Amino acid sequence: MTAEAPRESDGHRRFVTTVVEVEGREETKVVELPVSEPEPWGEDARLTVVGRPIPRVDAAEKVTGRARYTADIVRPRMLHAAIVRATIPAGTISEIDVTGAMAAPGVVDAITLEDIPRIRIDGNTLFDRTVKYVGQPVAAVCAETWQAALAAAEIVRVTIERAAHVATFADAIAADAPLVRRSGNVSRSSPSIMERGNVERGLSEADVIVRGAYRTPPALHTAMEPHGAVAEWEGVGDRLTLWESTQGVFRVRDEVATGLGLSRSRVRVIKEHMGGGFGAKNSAGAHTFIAAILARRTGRAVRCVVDRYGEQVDTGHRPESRIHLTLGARRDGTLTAIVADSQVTMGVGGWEASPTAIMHELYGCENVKTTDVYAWVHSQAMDSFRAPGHVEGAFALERGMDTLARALSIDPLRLRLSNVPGRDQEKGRPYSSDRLRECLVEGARRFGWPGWEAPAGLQDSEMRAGDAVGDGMVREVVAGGGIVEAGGGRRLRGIGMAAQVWGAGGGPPAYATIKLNSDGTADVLSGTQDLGTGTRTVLAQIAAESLGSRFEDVRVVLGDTERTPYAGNSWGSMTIASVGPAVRMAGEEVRRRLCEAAAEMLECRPGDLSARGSVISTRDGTRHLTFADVTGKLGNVMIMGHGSRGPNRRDVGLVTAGAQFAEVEVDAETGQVRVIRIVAVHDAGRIINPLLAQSQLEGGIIQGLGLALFEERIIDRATGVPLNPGMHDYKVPTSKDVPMIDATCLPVTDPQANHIGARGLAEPPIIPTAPAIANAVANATGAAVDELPLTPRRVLHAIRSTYA
Amino acid sequence: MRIPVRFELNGHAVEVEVAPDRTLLDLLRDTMGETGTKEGCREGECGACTVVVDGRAVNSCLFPAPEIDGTRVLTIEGLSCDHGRLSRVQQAFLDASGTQCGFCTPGMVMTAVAFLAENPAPMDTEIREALTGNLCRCTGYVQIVEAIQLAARRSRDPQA
Amino acid sequence: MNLPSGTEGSTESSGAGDPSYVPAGDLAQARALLDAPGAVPLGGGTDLVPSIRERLVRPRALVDLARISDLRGIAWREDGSALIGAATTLAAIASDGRMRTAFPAVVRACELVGSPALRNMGTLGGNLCQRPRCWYFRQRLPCHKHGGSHCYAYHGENEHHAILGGGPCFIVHPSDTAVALMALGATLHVTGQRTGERAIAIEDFFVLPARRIDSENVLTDGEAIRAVELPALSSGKRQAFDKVTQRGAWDFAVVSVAWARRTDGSVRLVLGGVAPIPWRVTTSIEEDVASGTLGEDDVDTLAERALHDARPLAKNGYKVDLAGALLRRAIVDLNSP
Repeated sequence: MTAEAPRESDGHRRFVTTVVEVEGREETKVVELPVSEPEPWGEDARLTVVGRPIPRVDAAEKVTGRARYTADIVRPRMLHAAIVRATIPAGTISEIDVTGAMAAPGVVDAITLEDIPRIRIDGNTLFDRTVKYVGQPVAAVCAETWQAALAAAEIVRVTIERAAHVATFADAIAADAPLVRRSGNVSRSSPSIMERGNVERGLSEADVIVRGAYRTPPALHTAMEPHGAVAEWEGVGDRLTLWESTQGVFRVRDEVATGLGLSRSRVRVIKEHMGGGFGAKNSAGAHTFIAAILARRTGRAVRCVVDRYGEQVDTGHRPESRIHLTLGARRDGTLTAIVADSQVTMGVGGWEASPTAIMHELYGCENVKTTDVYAWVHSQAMDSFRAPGHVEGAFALERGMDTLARALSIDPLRLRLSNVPGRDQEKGRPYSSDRLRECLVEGARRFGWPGWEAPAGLQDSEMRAGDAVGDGMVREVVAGGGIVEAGGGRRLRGIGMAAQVWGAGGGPPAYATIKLNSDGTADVLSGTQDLGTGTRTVLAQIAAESLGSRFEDVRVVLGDTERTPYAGNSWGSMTIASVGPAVRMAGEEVRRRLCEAAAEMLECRPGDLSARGSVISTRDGTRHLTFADVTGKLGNVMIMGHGSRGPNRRDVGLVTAGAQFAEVEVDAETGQVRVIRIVAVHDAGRIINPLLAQSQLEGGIIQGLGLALFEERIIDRATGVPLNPGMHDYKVPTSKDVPMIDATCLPVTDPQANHIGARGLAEPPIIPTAPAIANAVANATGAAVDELPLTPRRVLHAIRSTYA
Repeated sequence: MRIPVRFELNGHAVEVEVAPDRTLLDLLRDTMGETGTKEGCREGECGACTVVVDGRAVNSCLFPAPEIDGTRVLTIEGLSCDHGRLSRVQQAFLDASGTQCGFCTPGMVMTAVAFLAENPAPMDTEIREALTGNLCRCTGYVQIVEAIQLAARRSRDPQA
Repeated sequence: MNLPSGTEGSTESSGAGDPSYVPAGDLAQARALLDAPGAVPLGGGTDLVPSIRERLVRPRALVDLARISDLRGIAWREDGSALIGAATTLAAIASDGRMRTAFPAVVRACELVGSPALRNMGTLGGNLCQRPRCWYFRQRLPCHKHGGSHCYAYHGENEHHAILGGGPCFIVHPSDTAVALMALGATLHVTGQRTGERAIAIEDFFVLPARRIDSENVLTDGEAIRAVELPALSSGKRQAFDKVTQRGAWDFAVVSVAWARRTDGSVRLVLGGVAPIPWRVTTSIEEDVASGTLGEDDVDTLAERALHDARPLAKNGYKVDLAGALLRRAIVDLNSP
C-alpha cells in the first residue's frame, strides 16, 4: 500500500516515517505498518451493510432526550464553575478582588492567576495579567449551583489599567500600533510566500488580466452546545477524569496532562455525546483547566459549562480575510497566472490557515504566487472552522474566475472545465481519484446550467423534495440574469457556480479493537469521537461488513482515553478515512478467528466457511452456526481483533472535490437575497451511509449559505467590544432560509486512498457554497458583490456603486 | 423568597417551591433532574429548550418558573412512555435522519409535537415556519422537515 | 434567570439584589403592586427576562400580569372597534379569526415577530414596551441610555441605527406591532395607582430620545398598558404590514412599513426600523397619497418627500433606499383597487 513497501520480518511490525495531512498542514510521523491490510473493497465488492442508508445508531437516545451531553452530567456533590471575563480589550490587571464573591451564598472557591500553574492556550497564558481581548478569562469561581456561580462571577472585582488596543488589520500594522504580542503584530511566518513557476511571465503571456479585492467576514462556529467539561479527581487527587465536549479526547488528555504537570495516563478524558464542534472543540480550553483545577482544590467534582456569551466571544472563530487577486488567462480561458495577497486578522492566537492555499490546487496553472500576512489583534483567537482557509480563498478565487469569465465572454462553467488541473500540481502527482470534471458536469446537468439542461423528467425526479420555494419556484434559468416582476418589486434571478478541493485522505495513527461478546454481538472500541457527524453509525457499518454480522449486533464505543485505543482528533474530514480502515482490519481478524473456532465445531476447514448476517455457513450452505452459537460454546474464551491504519501512499494526492450551483432571487430595491436552490455534487470516494452523507452535505451547504448571507461577528473598533455575541444578532440560518437542495456524491469508490475506499466529506461541502451564491447574486444584479455577508446593506451598496 | 407552584409534568402532579429568579428550564433541569431539555443560549434565541405548556411550544429558558403554577407541561421525557416505544414524532425523526448532533433535537421534537397537534396535515412551508425558532447548526433542516412530514403522514396512514 | 443570588442576603455590588415575584390577581391589585418602587410588569418575559439577565433593567419586584383575565383576550364593540388586553399573546392575536378580517395589518405584524415559541409567550403590551436592540445598549456600554453621555453607534457600527429622529441616541424602536398599530391609529389605555386611567394616542405614547432618554415611551413609574384599542375607522382589508429582514425569519426589521386606508378614505403611513419611534410620515404626505390617482413620478416624489429629513450615519445610508422602496410599494398598494 505504501511507497515504502511493507516487508514483514519475523512477524514483527515495521515502523516507517510518513507524512500526514491535517487541514492543509502536513505532519511527519513515525508510524507502524499493519502486518497485513485487507484487499481494498473495489468497485465490484459485494457489500451488504456498507452503503446502506441506515438511521443513526444513537438517534433513539437523541430523540428521547436521553443522550447525555456534558452539561447533563451530574456527579455526586458536584460544584458549578463560572468564568470571570475581561470587559476591555487591552490592559494590565492591577487587582482582582474575590472577597465579595467568596462571601456570596453558595460560593466555594475562586481562582486567579496566582492560584494556577502556567497554562498556555492558543499561545496565551490562562488568566494572564495582560488583557488582550474582551472575553478573556481572568478568574473563575465555583459554587453549589450554576446560578450562584454566575452571580458570584459577576461580583468579582477586576481592576484593569487600560491600554491602547488594535481592532483591525490596518490598526495592527500601523506604524506606532500598540503590540498585541511582544514579538510584534504579525505572525512570525508573515509574509508567508508560496510560489510556483513565474507569475511575471504568466501575466505577460495573458491576453486578459482581471483584478479583484475580496473580503470574508469573521465567523463564529455557534455550535448549539457550548463548550463544557466536568472534572473529578479520584483517590488522593492524583487521577483526573474529565468529561469534555471535544473533537479529540487524546489531545485534550495530553494538553491537560501537560498543563497540570501530570503524566498522561493519570488523565482520563471521556466524550459521550456532543452538540457539534465544527473545529472549535479541538483542544482543551479555559473551561477544561478551570474545572480540573477547581475540582482538585475543592476535592469535589466541578462542572464548567461556557455560557452562550462566552461561547461567542472566547471559543475561536474563522478569521476575517481580505484577498487581492490577479488572474491572467489566454483568450481561450487557459489560466496563465494566479497572484494573490491575503491579509488575515487572527485575533490573539490561532494557527495560520492559508486562505490562498486553494489558489495552488483548484485550477491548473503553471504560475502561482501567493503571499499571506497574519496579524494579531485584540480579539478572541482564530480557531479551525470547517475547511479553514479554503472557505475564504474559494470565495476570492471563484469570484475572480467569474470576473475572468465575463472579461473573456466565456461561460463560467466552461472556464472552470478548461482549467481542471487533473493532478496534484504542488506535489507533482496524480490524484487517487480525479473527478472534479465529473462533479462539474454532473452538477451542471442536475442544475440545468445553460447548455447542460438535463433530459426532461430527470431533474424533477432526482430533485430532493422540499417546497421551500413553493409556487414561486421558477425552473427557467436565465444565463445573463433575468428580471421577474413580482410583489411590486424588482426581483432579479441569477445563477452561479463554484468548485472545491480539500485534502481529505485521513491517515495514521488510528486504532480499533473489536471484541466478540459471549452472546455473539461485537463491541468496537476506538478513541475517535462522534461530533454529530455519524461516526458511531458508519464505523458500526464497516465493522458489521467486515465481521459478517448483522448491523444491530455491533455496538461502537468511542471517545474514552482509558478504555479505547488511540484515534486522533475528529478534524480535517479525517475520521472515516483514518479510523474506518482500522475498524475493518479488526473486523476481518475477528471474523477469521471466529471462522477458525466454528471450523473446529463444524469439523471443517476455516476456509470453507463464510460469515454473513451473524451466521457462519459452510460453503455448500448445508450447515450453519450463528455467532452466538459459536461464542456460547466458547464460553469465556474471547475472540478479539485489532486494527490499525497504515500510511497513505505518497505517489497519489488524496482530495475530495466537488462543485455547487446556486440559483438566487434578489430584490434589487431592498437588497434581500433569497437562495432558491443549490445543486451539489461531490466525490468523496465510497459513501458508507448515504443518509448521513446527505446530512453532512446539507449541513455544510447551509453553513455556507449563512456565511454568504448573514454571518459576521462584529467588534466595535473604538472599544474593542464584540457587539453581537448572541444567537440572534449573530445570525445563523433558520429553517426558512433553506433552499431546495439537491446534494449528492458520485457513486464511486477510491481503492487507492485506503482499503475501504472512502475519503472525508465533512468540510468539502461548505467550501463552494458562498462563492456560488455570490456569483449568482452578481449574475442577477450585474453588481460586484465581493464582500461577505451579502446583507441588504452590502447588496444595495454594490448595486448602487455599479449603476451610479 | 420561595414560591410554591403546582403543575402537571408529563402527566404527573408536581408540587415544588421555586425561587423567583428561576426559569422553567432551571426547574426542569436542576430541580427535577430532567436533562432532556437542553440549554443552548438562555436568551430565547436557539429553541433547544422548547417544551410544551398547555399545548403551546415555549422557550423554557425565558419562562419564569413561578408562572408555571396551574399549567400542564410536556417535555421530551413525557413522549415515549409506552414501554420505551418511541412516539410517532420521535420515530419519524429517527427514520428520516432528523438528528445529527442531537442537541437541538428535543426542542425540535417538542415544537413538532405542538405544531402537529394543531396542524396534522401541514405543507412543508408551514413546517419551516413552525421551526423558525429552533436553530440547528448541523443538518441544514431538510431532513428535519422530512421527519415532521413523515410523522404527519403516519398519523393519517400508519403504514406510511 | 441568572440574577444575583440574593435569595439569602443581597450582594453588595449588584445594586438592587433579587427581584421578588408577585402574581397580581386582578387589576386593582396589579396597580397597587406596580406602585412600589422598582416594580415592573411581567408579561411573557420574553424581553424582560433576558433584559434582567443582561442587567439592562434592575427591577425590585416583578408583578405578574399574566393571570389577570381582564388583561387577556380581545373584546369587540358593536361599532367594530376592538380592545386587546395588554397580556394577550401575539400568537392569540395572530390566530384570532375576527382580527384577521378586521385588522390584518396587526395580525401580520404579530406573525412576523420572533419565533412561534416567542409569540406563544410574548404579549402585546410587552412587545410595545420592549427595550431597544441597539447592540451598544445591549452590551451595556455606558451610552446615553445607561446614564452616559456618549452614543457609541454615532461613530461606530451603526448599520442598524436610526436615519430619522435620532439624537442624542440613535436607536431604532424594535416593535413590529407598534408600527402596525400606529398605522391603524390605535389608542393605548394605560393604568396606574397614582395616575389613574389614561388613554394615549399611540403617536403620543412613544417618545424620541431628545425628549426622554431612559425610556422609549411616556409611561411613568407604576404605570402599565392595560389595553390597546383599534378604532372601527381602521378596520377592513385596505391595510398591510411588511418588513425587510436579513434572514428569512426570527429577525427584527431592518426596515418595516405599515399602512392603512381608513373607511373615511384617509391614509396613515408608518415606517419601522428607521427611527427611535415608529415613524409616521407627515400628514401632508398622507393627504397627498390619499388624494387619488398617482403617476409613477408622483409615487417617487412622495417617497422622497417622506424621507427628506433622513440623516443617515456612516453605515446606514442603505436604509434610506430601502425605506424609499417600501414606501413606494406601500403608496402603490394604497392606491390599487
